[in-house]
Amino acid sequence: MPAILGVGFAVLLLIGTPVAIAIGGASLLSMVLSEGIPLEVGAQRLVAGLRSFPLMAIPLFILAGSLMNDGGITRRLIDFAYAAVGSIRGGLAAVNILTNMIFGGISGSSVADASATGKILIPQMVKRGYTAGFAAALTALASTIAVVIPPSINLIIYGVTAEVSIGSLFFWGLYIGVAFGFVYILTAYVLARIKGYPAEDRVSRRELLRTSKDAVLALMIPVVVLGGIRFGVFTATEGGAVAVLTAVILGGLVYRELTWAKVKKSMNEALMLIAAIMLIIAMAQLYAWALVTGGIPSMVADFVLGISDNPVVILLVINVLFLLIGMVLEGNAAIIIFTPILLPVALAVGIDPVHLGLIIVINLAIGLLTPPVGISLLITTRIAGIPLQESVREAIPWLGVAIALLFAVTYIPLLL
Amino acid sequence: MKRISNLVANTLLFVAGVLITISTVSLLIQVVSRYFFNAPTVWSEELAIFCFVWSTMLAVPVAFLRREHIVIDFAVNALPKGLQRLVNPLTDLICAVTLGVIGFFAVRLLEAADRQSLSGLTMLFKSTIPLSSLYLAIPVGCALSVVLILYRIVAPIPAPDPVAEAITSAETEV
Amino acid sequence: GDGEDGGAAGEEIHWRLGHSYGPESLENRSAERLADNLEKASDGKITVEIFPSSQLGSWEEMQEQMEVGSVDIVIESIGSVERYTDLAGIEGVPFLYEDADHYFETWDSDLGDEIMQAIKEDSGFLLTGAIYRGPRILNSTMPINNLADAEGLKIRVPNQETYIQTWQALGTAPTPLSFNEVFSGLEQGAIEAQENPVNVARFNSFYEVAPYIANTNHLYGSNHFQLWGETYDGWDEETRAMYDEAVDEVSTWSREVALEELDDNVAFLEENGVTFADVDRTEWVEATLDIVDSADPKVQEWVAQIREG
Ligand code: NA
Ligand code: NA
Repeated sequence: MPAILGVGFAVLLLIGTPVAIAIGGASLLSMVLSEGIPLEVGAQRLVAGLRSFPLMAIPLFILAGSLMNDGGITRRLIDFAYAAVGSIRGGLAAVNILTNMIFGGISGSSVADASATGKILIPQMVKRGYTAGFAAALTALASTIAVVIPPSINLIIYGVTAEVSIGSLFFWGLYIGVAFGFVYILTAYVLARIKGYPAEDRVSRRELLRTSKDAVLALMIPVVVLGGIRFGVFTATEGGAVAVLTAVILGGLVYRELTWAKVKKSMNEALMLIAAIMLIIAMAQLYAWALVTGGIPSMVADFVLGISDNPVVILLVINVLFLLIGMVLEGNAAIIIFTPILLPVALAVGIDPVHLGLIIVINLAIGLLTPPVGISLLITTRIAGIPLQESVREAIPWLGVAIALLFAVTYIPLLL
Repeated sequence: MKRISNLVANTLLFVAGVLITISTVSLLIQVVSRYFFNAPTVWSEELAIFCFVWSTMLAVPVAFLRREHIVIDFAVNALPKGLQRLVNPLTDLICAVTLGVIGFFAVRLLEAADRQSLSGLTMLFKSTIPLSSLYLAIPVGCALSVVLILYRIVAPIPAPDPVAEAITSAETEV
Repeated sequence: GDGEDGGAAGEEIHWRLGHSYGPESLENRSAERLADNLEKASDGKITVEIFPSSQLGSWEEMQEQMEVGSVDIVIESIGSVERYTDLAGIEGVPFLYEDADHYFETWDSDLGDEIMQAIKEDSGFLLTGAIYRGPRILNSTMPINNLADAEGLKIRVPNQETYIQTWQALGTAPTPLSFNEVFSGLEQGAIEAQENPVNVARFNSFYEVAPYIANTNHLYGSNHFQLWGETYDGWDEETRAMYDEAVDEVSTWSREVALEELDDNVAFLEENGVTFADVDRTEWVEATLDIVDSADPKVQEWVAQIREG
């Protein structure tokens, strides 16, 4: 019943049914209409989506990110970035990007980053002569680095769905994310020269030392968490627990900002985000099952491979497809639904599954900027208090840079 | 009514918070005992998953009550106001039916789960812990969600603006 | 599946078969052969649709789906039903067989049938046929020639008590780790060894980072076509006979292929710089003799019978 999975899902989504229920409802309907599928399997797929050990990294990193905001860790990171790169041309733009890079090493989702850094930096940027549209577009773009730099919820979900090493995905995600960050800083510098955006005053050496000292422990969190995962001290999931622990110790005992009331608030906020994201992930398991028993993946694979068996062409098809998907679909659901469809195609033409995962995740990171559903841009636009078309217009050059980088990541490995 | 729904929501969130804390601690014990004491634990992973599944399924109903689940609303926003007012109860009903069906069939799955043991937890508690104790989280979470969704249809709670919320929450943070 | 009652003459029967092995695996090729056999024997009445690579879920979940009736056949080992019955612990008893011949003799004998019947009664799952997996070996980043060499070795094991106990008894430091992380774990030194049949070392490229294999042969095992017992009992006699015959043919075929491929894999690995070492099994066997004491009494009985040979 592939029709229901496509049309039914789209209709449910468009009338404003929560994404999770649109996915689950369409899947159940398709199971009802197929012969001989007991609906118990629907319930079972839901549990399957929740009881997976690697996926448990997601709630933990969400919780860790929430605790870090409330524990004063985010603010210290911004102060540090300000002292470090504020004095170059377009300094606040660079501060914004660097903060998001560091924050991305702790947090797994862009939504939290866009709101946390945007609230502080967008008003400052506007005050210093940046247009509000530029500030909103830049912050949204910078926040997407968080889904490429590990820990990344999207990479975890891809690793689980495609059965590839999350450690390897994280390893490459780190390099690519950092490279993206530096290219963005460079682009900001060039744009600042063209548009005449200012540099910030150079802070005194003493101030730099003070902010570094203040932030050094906060900066150690990504090092400890990512290093621990990389060197096999703990898995990504256990790394999430370590991140929660370090956030509590740092915010509570060292900075002494994390009170009981704040812990409770952080926890409740994190739980709402966990509920929303995990329900989508779990429901997407029903969808994937219905797709597979409906024979869709092999149908798509045959179709795409019928067009071409050249990896260059296949990768182009995958990129275009995911850029379109990223415009309308939430990233985690997109990965669970489309990975089983496209992975066999990619494997058939010799594309490395780790490479494919990074390509998909970068596509979906770009999707956080593209309307109609570009949640990072929606958030920063609202913070900036401007109409969406203003920030979309300013986002276009950035999207050009991001897509150019995407194609570099896509095709450079083929040349090596 | 409002006070009862708040009490229910806060209770669920409190229990969910405790459970996710146990999950975290259990994983930390797992790392320490494996890496530093060379004595891997077989129960910690299962305990962590167990608490996490229950935690999520207790938070999900609250997210329905507070309309925190992710919605794509650009198409609905383009509708005339009169039509928009009809859409909310309709989507609520779809949510209730979907979760009701899943919850019902989850109950029927309990029998199959009951015959399987959670080997790690069984070892920890020295008595057979069936898988059904974990699966039970699904019907419970679905039933609570249905109740809170129906409550919300009867006593409408305005949908929060997720974007505005993200911003306010960041505001109080910094 | 669609024809869960399977039976009445002329009725179309459609079965779903799921497993967690890749499309090129012997398991998948055996599944395809079974599908062919059944289709031919039934004049196209029985069709089997195959879902490899955990497409329908993990093997635990597929077994559950078998019970509710959305999947008909799952390929997995005996140990996979251990969470339903302690009797399945027979698979995990280390150093039980002298060699492959001893293993085949055991499972071709009446004892093999007796064990499968007992497992069916206790778990509800009927395990039919056999796809031989070969002995499990110790694949490490450093040479292991005897038990002393293995002391403190960080070896990856599945997170199951028997595995952990076995490798602790051998003086190593067993580390539970998900299979997806084994390659990078070996590469970065988080683990120093893994234990699996030799084909796993080849087809997951583990040999590139861990070029030593000790022929510990600590476990022998097969995968089986698993069915939900009540479903099988519900088939009419003709269907059952057709199924049994099709499975028997696949089993005979796959054992031969498995043995050939085992030699082929060893030759491939040797050509690619892997050093194989035979170990004196006596000390390994002695170190792990107590493991069976905590097993189900019936399993202990079977172990005694098998050891007597
Ligand atoms: Na990140
Ligand atoms: Na988008």
